[in-house]
Amino acid sequence: MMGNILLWLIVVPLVGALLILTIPREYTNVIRSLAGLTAAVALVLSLVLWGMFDRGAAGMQFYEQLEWFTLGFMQVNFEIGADGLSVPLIALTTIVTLFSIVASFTIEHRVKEFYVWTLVLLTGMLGVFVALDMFLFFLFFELTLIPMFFLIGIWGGKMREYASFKFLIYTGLGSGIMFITFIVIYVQAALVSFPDPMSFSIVELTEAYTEGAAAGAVGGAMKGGMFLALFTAFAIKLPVFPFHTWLPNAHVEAPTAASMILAGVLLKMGGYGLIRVGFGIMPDQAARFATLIAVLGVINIIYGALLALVQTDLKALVAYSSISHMGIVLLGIASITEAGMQGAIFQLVSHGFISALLFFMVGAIYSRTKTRTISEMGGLSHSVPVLAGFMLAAAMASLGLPGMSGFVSELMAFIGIFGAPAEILPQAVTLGVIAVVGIIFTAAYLLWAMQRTTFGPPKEKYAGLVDAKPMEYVPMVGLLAFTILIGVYPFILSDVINTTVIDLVSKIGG
Amino acid sequence: MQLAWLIPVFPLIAFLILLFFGRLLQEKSAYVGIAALALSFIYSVLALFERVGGETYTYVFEWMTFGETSLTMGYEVTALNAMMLIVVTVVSLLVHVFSREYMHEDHRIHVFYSYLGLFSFSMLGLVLAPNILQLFIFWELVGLCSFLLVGFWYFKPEAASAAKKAFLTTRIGDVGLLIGLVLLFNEVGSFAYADIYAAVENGMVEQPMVTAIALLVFLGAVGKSAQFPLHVWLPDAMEGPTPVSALIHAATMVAAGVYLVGVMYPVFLASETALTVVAYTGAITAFFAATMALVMTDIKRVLAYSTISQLGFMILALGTAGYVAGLFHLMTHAFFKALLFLGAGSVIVAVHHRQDISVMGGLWSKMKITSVTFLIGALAIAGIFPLAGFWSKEEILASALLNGNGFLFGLALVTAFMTAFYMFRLFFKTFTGDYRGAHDDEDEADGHGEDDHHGEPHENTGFMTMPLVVLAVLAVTAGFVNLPFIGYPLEGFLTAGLNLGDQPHGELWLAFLSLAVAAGGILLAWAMYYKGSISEDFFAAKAPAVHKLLLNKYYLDELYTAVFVKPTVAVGRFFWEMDKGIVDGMVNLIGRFTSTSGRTFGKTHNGQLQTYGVVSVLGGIVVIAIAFVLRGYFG
Amino acid sequence: MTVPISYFLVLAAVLFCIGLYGVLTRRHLVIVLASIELMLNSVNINLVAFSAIGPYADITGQVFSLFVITVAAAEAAVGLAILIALYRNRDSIDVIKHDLLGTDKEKSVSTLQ
Repeated sequence: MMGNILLWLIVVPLVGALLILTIPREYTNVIRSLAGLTAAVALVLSLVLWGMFDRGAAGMQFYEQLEWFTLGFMQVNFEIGADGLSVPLIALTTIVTLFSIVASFTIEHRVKEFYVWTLVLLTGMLGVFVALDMFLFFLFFELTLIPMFFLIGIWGGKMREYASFKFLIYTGLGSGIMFITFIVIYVQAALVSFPDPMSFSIVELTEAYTEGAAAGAVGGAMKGGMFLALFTAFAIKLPVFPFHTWLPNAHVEAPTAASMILAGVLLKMGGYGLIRVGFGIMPDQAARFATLIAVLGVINIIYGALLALVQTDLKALVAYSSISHMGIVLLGIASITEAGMQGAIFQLVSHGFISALLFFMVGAIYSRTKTRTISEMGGLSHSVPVLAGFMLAAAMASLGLPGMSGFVSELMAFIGIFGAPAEILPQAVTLGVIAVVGIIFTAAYLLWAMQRTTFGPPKEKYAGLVDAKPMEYVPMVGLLAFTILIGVYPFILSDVINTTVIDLVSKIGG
Repeated sequence: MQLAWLIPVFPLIAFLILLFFGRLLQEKSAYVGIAALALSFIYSVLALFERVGGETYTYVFEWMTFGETSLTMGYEVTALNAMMLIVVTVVSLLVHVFSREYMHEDHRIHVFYSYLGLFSFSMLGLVLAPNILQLFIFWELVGLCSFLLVGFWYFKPEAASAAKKAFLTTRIGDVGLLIGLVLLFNEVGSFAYADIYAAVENGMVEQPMVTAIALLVFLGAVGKSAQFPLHVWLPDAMEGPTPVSALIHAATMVAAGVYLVGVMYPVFLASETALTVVAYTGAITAFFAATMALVMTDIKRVLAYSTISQLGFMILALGTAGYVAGLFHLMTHAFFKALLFLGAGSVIVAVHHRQDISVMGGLWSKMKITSVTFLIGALAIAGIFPLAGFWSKEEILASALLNGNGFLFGLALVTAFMTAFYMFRLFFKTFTGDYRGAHDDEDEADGHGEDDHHGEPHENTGFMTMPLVVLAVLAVTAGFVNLPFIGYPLEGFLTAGLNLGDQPHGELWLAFLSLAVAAGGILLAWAMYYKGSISEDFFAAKAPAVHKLLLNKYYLDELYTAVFVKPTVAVGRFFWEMDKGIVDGMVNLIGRFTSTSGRTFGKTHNGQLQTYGVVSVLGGIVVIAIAFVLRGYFG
Repeated sequence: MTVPISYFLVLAAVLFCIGLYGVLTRRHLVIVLASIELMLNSVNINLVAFSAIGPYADITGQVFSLFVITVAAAEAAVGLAILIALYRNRDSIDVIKHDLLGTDKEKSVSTLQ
């Protein structure tokens, strides 16, 4: 196979989507297999990428730059590449997507459109993680919105239209802010470099802002404003309190597969963007606002956990737990240490697997009990022991049980925050302690939910439920296996990330 | 010792086999578990023998990297963990054997054995860990197993709630431990014990940081070893099957807290304050738990409070520089407490799954082996010469005394008295007198469904009595490994190569004093519950308020619910309302404003072409007029 | 003597306003179309007037007015054709009754609560 593997990665799902478009809608099984096959090919490609990736080298690999168009002296290129930050997320994307496609084999309503949108979504997500041109990045970022809008809006629950519009408009607002900020970032750098041409390349801009001409020429207030605007844009996606309210609605209404992708991958684009663009281009501003980010991270952890504690809907509980867990990402990157940054990236990957698993379990249970209300469940260990067992395993992973990936990321983030340099983060220890206490709440809401759903006396109305079907074992076992693999032997992941993290932190001067 | 890594792997394999094929094996699952533990036990014995004649063996591999730092995992065989390996594998093996009979009616016996395997793996992994991070990982895993096994009968609401409570309460301590070890890592730059010891001894970690770290680590031990004020989970954990109580909640997991303080002892030695806190926590726990044990009527709860109390003893010893005393007692206690719990299990089976001692009695003649072994266990825990408990308890009293704190010593002595009293109260009420459970067999439902073998209690089969006999032998002999007459061999083994200061030893009069106190306790119990010369509710009648307070466990559960649980949920509710009302309210407000204004202005868009025409003509006129005015065409 | 240009302009303006008034107020579509013709012709008067006596008088204005007349004829033809089609479909050529583009006619599509 020749050519750039990243290019193949983006193209394969798109080709799959186009192929599905040519199949008559009645051939649902053909459509399903083709979608699964496409995702499997993408997964294989991402694993090949994982293997080919040179762990020791800093900077971008598999780099490709093609001229796209110019407006005046404004140069927009098709520029892609991958480093230790994007490779794990690419793998996460293909894995979660494959499993969510398998999980959605039960969907009977408008099958063809469903898989077309899912594969377009896959293209968009992979594009975000490989794009190195801000224009291209924005394009792919937007490309993920539309398919998700339809996935929620067509295949969702009762309030699907409200939820999908809210998702579209809210995160679209974030994209708008992001795009304006991108243009400001570009114009500021281009004004300095004038009359030399300047492209929208993230790599080029990173250089310009950290070492090049723009580093000194662009004022502190302007840079601060740009960073905060970028932060807001990505905070909506992540999501960060108080921009989180679209998430519970979207999750509760979304079909299982969409929830898996939404929590598993889409949220990660916020964290990825924050690290890639925000921290990459303006490391000094990241250090300047470290306290703000860390405080928001702690709020996310505690606030999300407390809200999850009082939820009555199991899926909403998992949604709020996502908010809580994304706080760990903020906390990790705010510490501006190698450990913290590593923890943040670990959390992006680990939460991707865990939340996808949790949402799958909730979906599988819902398809049997026909209710998501926690108080109406109970005794599921009796009627569906395998599902209950996996549910418990997922909850344990989510509460950061050692031996599973969540623990490693939390540990790293805490090592980071407690070791954060005092001049950047003077309140590090206080924030760290509050955050660690938050994990008690995490344990509390998850265990309480387990106690009320899987434990307890068996209920008669659930007596005849069918336990896990063979097709359901695929996502359950697969996602759990990755969670345990990373938890037991995190070296396989840290090895890939480490060089990039060292590079990133050294620029911030931590 | 190179093969020591196999010790935890055997139970892990058993766990995996039972996980995948358990449904096929059903009752035969027991043999998989027993075989695995037998292998682990053999390897542990080999490791111990090698270690006695050799050096500490360590193996590590790279587990995780960040920046220039690497975290490692692996295993090591030190003197302390060689001893712990034996304790854990012996008790675990015997519990595996015992459960074969105890659980055979349960159709989920394979699940039970798989959990036991996972637990044994985790506990052995905890013991073999060469660094505190790995210890923490397995520490959490044993917590998970405890959660699973306490909640094994998940359909009982009490069991489900007890499992959650156990996990959450210990989690509070774990958070302290996690903070402590992260702080320690940031000071030392490594999680490995050897590096930590070196750093602390070289004074690299300064005050007050070392005190903070020691106290945070101790918080972990408080949670796991059920010390005051986090002890509330252990009595509730008795909802689990009795063999589990013997293994996890008496002999091994709860002792992990003591073990933790043991392996981190150099850090504690570096901080006077921390040691004092440890000592007082231990003494107070020992005392409070013993007072509650005096009034409990559930056979397992008495033993649970007794466990808390004995763990308090160990912590007290560690806090008063009695490193060997604490760990010695850990070992002896593991044997006799496992014996007592398994004995209680045997009794519970015999009286058709009831646990209230007021419906027992008179079992001495009906189940000889259980009775005799139980008596040995009770004598051992009371500290009667020459049983195991005598030697270790005497050392604890010695370290409390020689530490120069009369209060701690007094508390320990009173507790020793109470220990002897409540143990023999239990013994006399269970085994002597007349059987009081015969008549109300019918109205007894204990979550076990219908019992098909009503009638007189009788001795159980060899699967259950064999472990009792072995443990009884150990309860008699385990104390001999640290006999004063032959120069404290265990002490020499445990302290070799470590800089832990002199170990305190008591003089002969102390041995007699402790013996007298124990005998006094037994005598009082004899007088009240066997002879009847003092009325059974003599004390309850004298001080009814105290009695009620003890029966209600000092109202701590109620207090915690009111102070921690309810406010947290209330805050959560408040935040949720705020989230829906204000945070999301703002979002919806913006949305509603946009759509409302759109709808309002949309009204003008009525489809009447002529109206549009009028508006645009008027607009054109206005524009022209403004242009004229501004350009000054009229002036 | 020549007629001053303002006479032509006032005449054209009056004609234009009459046409405009007709377009905006009459409900009968035929009258509306006739009024549009009136407005076009008022423009023609302007074009011809400037062509004859404007500051840059040349033939362009007259040519342009011929174009306007042609287009007006085509417009009238197409307009009447639409009008007939409309009448056939909806049995009315009353302007007021053709307001399908109005927002009130269909329920709001907004799904926000």
